[in-house]
This record gives sequence, C-alpha cells and structure tokens, in this order.
Amino acid sequence: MTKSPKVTLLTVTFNGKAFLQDYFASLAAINQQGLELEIFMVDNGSTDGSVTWVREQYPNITVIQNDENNYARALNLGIRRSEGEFVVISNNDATVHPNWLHGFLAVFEQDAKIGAVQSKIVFAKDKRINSVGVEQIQHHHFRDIGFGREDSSAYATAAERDYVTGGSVMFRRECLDDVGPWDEEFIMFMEDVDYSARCRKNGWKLWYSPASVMYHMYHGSASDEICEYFCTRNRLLFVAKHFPLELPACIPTSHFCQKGEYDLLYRSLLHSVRKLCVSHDTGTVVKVLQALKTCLPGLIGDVSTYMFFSHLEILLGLRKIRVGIYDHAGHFAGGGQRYVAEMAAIMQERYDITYIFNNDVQLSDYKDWFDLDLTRNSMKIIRIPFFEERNRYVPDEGMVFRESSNPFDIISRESLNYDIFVNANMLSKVNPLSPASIFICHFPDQERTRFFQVDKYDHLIINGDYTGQWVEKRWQLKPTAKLYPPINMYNPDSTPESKEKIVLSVSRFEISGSKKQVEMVQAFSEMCKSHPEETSGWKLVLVGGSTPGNTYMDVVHEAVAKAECTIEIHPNSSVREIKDWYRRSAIFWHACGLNESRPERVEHFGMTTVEAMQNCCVPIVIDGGGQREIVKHDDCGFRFSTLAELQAFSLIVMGNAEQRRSMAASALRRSYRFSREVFKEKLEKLLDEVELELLGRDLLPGAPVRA
Amino acid sequence: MSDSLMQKIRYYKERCRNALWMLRTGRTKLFYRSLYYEFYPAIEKVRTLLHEEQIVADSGFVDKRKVSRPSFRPTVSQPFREAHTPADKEAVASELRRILSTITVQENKNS
Repeated sequence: MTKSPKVTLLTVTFNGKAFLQDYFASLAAINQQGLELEIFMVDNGSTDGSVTWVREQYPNITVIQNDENNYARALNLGIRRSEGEFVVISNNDATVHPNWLHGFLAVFEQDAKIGAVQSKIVFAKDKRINSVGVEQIQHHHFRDIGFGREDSSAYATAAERDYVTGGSVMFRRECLDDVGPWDEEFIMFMEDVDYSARCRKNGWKLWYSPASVMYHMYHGSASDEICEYFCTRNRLLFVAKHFPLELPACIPTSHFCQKGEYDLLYRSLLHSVRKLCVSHDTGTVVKVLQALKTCLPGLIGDVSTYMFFSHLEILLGLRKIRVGIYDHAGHFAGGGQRYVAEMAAIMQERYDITYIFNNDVQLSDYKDWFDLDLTRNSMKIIRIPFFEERNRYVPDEGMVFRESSNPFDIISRESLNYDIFVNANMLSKVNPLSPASIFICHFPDQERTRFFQVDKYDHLIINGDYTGQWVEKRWQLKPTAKLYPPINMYNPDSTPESKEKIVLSVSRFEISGSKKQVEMVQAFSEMCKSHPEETSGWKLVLVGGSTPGNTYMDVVHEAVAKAECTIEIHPNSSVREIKDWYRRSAIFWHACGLNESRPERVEHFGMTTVEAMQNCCVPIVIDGGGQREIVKHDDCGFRFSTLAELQAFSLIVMGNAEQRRSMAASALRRSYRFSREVFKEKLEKLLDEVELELLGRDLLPGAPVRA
Repeated sequence: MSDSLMQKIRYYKERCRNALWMLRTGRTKLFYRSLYYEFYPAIEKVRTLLHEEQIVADSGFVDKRKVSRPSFRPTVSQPFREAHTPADKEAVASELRRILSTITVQENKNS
C-alpha cells in the first residue's frame, strides 16, 4: 500500500435528496489523514433536484448521470471513472463514523489477497446490528449476519466472510480489475452477493472490519415490495449463474412460488435459464433443462411448463416467433375479416403465421376478397365437434350456455403452439394458452356469459371509442389499444370536380333492416317533395351486399316504387363499381342506428363513411356509435339524430357548392387518421410492445433505487 | 317525458307497426326473423339467469401464469443486450424440442 493511498468514494442516488445532506456532512467529518480522496455520486435519474443541490453545495463531488435506473450499472459507471487504489461503495441513506475509511484500510494491510472489506453497519435508529457480513442459509437464501441483534463483543473482531454487502464496502483496485464489471442484469439487490461469489472464485478474500462503522436508515429509499421482488428474482438468477444444478430445487422455496405469484415465477425462471445458457456449457444446460422438465409440471402445471420451454426457444433466439390467428368466421368475406387480414399482411413480414379456421377456406381467397396476399402463411382447419353436430356454418358462442365443458377448448389447446395467439373475431370463450395473446373486439355483443375468457388476454384491441365504452360497461375490462380499421379507398380521380348530384349510401341490405335503407328512401322522397327546387337533379343511390332470398330487398324495392324521385338500387356491386360511385357522389348518407336503443344495433365503426370521405364525399351520418368519432359535426360533414335533421343538413349541403367543396376537403384530411398507413404504424408499435414483453429484460422505469 | 323514454316508445311503436305490416302482407318469414333478432338478447339474458351458478365455469386448461390480478412487478421490459452463449445453440434447441415432444397437456389436470 502507498503511504497516502488514493481512495474513491462512490455512492448511487435516486431521488434521495432528503438523505444527502446528512450523508455528505458526515463524510466531511471523517478522518482523511494520510488519504487522498475523490468522491463520485452517480445519479439514476432523480427528479427531486438532488443533482443540482449536490453540484451547488459540493462542487468537489463529481456527479455522473446514469441513463438507466439500474444500481449495478451505476456502480460500473462510477468504477470506470474512478482512479483510487481503493474504491468504497456506500449507501447514502446513512451517516458514517469519522474512522470509517481507516477502519477499512487497517484490515487490507493484513493480507494482499483481501479483495474487499465490509463495515459494521448498524441501524441509525437504535444502534442494533444491520449487517456485519452476509451468509448463506438453506436453499440459497441469504441474510445479513447479526441482523437486528444488539451490538456486542461478538461483532468486535475482524473476520473473513463468504459474502459482503454493498451497503458499505471497500474494494481493492486489483480485485475490481480482476473480477470485472458488476452484473447489470441484477439491477439492484443481491448484486453484491453475486460480486462476492465472483471475487472468491477468483481467489480474493472478503473481510469484515468492526472499526469501520456506518449508521444506516435501512431501506430509506426503497420500498419493501421492491426489495422483495428483486431479492426473490435475483436469487434465482444467482443460483442459475453460480449453482446451476441446484436451480430446480430452489424453485419451490422461492417466495414467488410460495405466494402463488406464478406470473413472476415464470418470468424470473425464463431469465434465469437464459443466464444459465450464457454462463455454462452445453452439458450443464441440458442437465438443468431435464431437471426442470421433471419438477415444473408439479409446480406450475403442464400448460405453463409447455409454454415455458416453448418460450425459451424464442428467448434464446433458436427460432422465429410463431403467431396463430384464429378467425371462426374467416371462411367468408366481411369487415372483421378484412381487418384481421390487413393485420396478418403486416405481421407476416416478421413472424411465422398460421391461420386457424373452423370451416373450409383457402388463403388465396383473401387475395380475391381483399387484394391481400397471405399465401405464404400456413393454415389449419380445426372443426369444433359441438357446432359440427349442430350443423352450424359459423360457430355461435351464444349456443353454449349449459354445457359442462367448454367446446372452444380445442382451440385453446391449439393456441399453446404459438408464441402470440390472436383471437381475431371476438369469440369470448377461447382461453389463450400462448405466452402472449391478443383479443380483437369489434363490439361486445354479449354480456359476460359462461366460459368468459377475454380477461385472460394480454392485449385487448378495440376498433374505436364506441366499442371501448361498451367493453368497459359490459365486460368491466379496460382495452389496451385502439386500432381503427385500416381503410384504403383513395382514388386520385375523386376530386370536387368529379362530383355529380348524387347522394350515396353504401351498406349491406341487412335482413333485419338495421342499415335503414327504407328510412333513407322515405326521407329522400319527402325531401324531394317538399323542396323540389333545391333537390332538382339529385338522386339517391343505394349500394350494398345482399344474399339470395333477402326479404328486406323486397321492402326496399317497395319503398322505392312509392317514392316520387330518382332512387337507384345496386346490390352486390363490384369493388370497381363502388369506387366509381364514391368518385361521382357528392354526399354520403349513413343511418345505421337510427331510432335504435340497443348499442349493438348502432354502427360500431362505419368503414364506408371513411371510404366516402377518402373520396371527397360530404358525410351526413347518424349521430351515434362509431360515426361520432369519424365525422366532426359542421366541419367535415354533419351528424343527425332524426330524419328531419338528415333532410335539413342535406339541403344545406345540396344548396351550397362552396360549402360542399370545403367540407369535402376537410373530410379528406380527416380520413387520413383511419388510413392503412396509420393502422400499420400503430400495429407495429403494438407488436414491438408484445415482442418486448416476450423477449425483454427487466428495466426499472422510475422505482426508487437503493441509495 | 325524457328523450330516452320517447326514443324507446318510438322504437317499440315502429317495431309493432312493422310487425303488423309483415303479418298483413303475409311476410311471415321476415316476421319470425325480426322476432328472433328482437328477442334474442332477452332470451340470452333469461338463459344466463337460469344457469347463473354455472357462469363461473372455466376452460379445462389452466395456465398458472395467469393469476387473477397480475402480481406486483416494478420493472418494464427492455431488449436484452447481446450476450455470448458458451452452450451449443443447436444442442440446446434439440433438447428443447425433445422436451416439448414429451409434455402431455391434459384438460383439467391442473384445475
């Protein structure tokens, strides 16, 4: 040792301003005789002004700012900058005895192989012992030696220890250089136990010095909950790293397991096995995996065990992420199917996708229906016996109300084969068994009924606020993301100049009459009768899909026959024809939800309104459901509550070409928020989040770090 | 009278008028369909009430990861930094595949 050794003092803080004044005051009072001292404070992102305060009050202290709230990382940053022959790591929710530093150094002088010396740490409140070293007890649990006991002669002698605490410890520079950086995966708590084990592995001795005394507040700035979380998590990491073959035996005694916190146990175990793989050879890894296969089913069940090993494959980068998309109604074209197909088209760029159907269909059909090529994906047809027996074309979950077992369990079992399971069309009775799951809700048609499983999904996506409100009301669930349907009906030929005197409606001719074509016919007819001048030359065009034998079509035809104005009906027009109607029409009507009191009978979103807006039509739509979100009243169109309002707003737009033009421009601008590009951007962001949950490491966002 | 009540009255008045019109004009198929759509949610509600004690039923598969309320976890996720793996990736992959092929997932086993 040199005559005046240089000592670096390193402390880490996070919002610990309340403690810093006493701590630094006690440092100022220590005996520095024969020492050269440099002090570093690493800040983990405090927002309480500690950094400014220290810089003002103690300009000689070097402040380093950490970009992560990670205690182990903070230590590495400080040690890398330090120049001392000895480096002291210390908590700052504490004060120190004037002989604190000399107390350490006296022990180092005994043996050049002593790598670290720990202080006697006593509680500031009652002077009882906090720690005079760390010892291992059964099942690789660790505890502070002397914790809570009266200070006595038993703690008055310097002694060698197996482990030391990082609360107040001095390291020899050679030891730090030899052992290397602290393991940042521990974040905080037990990083010192890990470092102690590594020191001893490299032949360094660890000691305790009673002459170096610290008075500690104990968890002055970290909650018990955080402490317990990290201690439990890090114990598994520690065992995987240092005693890999004992990892399986340590699981039942983990606090996560004992308290039934299986979600935390699952995640911590995954990270521990990853740690095992980066720390040990193939033989050890295989042995541990085999032992885990034997012990896990009894602890977490065979579903979670299967999921665990499958999850490990992607966490270790051994294969691509697999996605299963289940659409029970995927064998025919509809708005919901289009929504999911657009999703699949985006997801297929990064994942292996399998479409799961209940009925015969080809992925090439999606090319014809939606112009989306999904043929590179796989597909499976899984028939559900319950509905097969009842000869149902589409599984109807409303039929399942007295069965003793869930008919959809066959789909749940299938979901276990994927890393991400997407329930695409709102079947609320499918239990997702994949590590990550997404439920897409276009509208919650039913209340929570028997076998309700939606609360088991990790992500609940809604198509708009209207659906979101009803999801909260009916299912008491909070949606996790809102993804408007992707709509791409832009046509460069649609301009204000391309418009003719046409009022267009594009809606299916629903057999129940829910799209209100008859009411629109009556309203148009009355309007033409009462305002012949203003409506002169205008016609109403009804476009929409219909099925053979649709009796509602007869009703519409009858209403049209009675009307004394020009009304055309074009059922089942091609996409090209519909595009042309959008291009030519000046006004767009949508009345689904008129006079309806049931939320499910109101348009949940209204994709055709957006399509019309993308083609410079002025939308005049029902003031309800998803239409409220799409059309800003008196800005890019109008919203009506009664047929009289529909007529009044239409007359305004018909009679003012300038207003028509400005509203159409505004509608076009507003339509971008529902475009395919926005959908893609939002979906990719969501997938990044899902992927991060599946494959990410832990990061503390702003939790208090041990100071 | 409140707006919502008026709306309800208007709604049921229209439904009745439509029903009468369907019956008068012999559109019985349409009448029954409309009836079905009209009363389906109510029938569902009654069915649910009748079997209320069964509503708690769960799937036959139990995922122990899903606890009723997620446990306290103070961290968020961040991508892992690349790390060197001394273990042979192919050997680990093949062991994992072997393990997965031997796990039998049975219904109700864990419930």
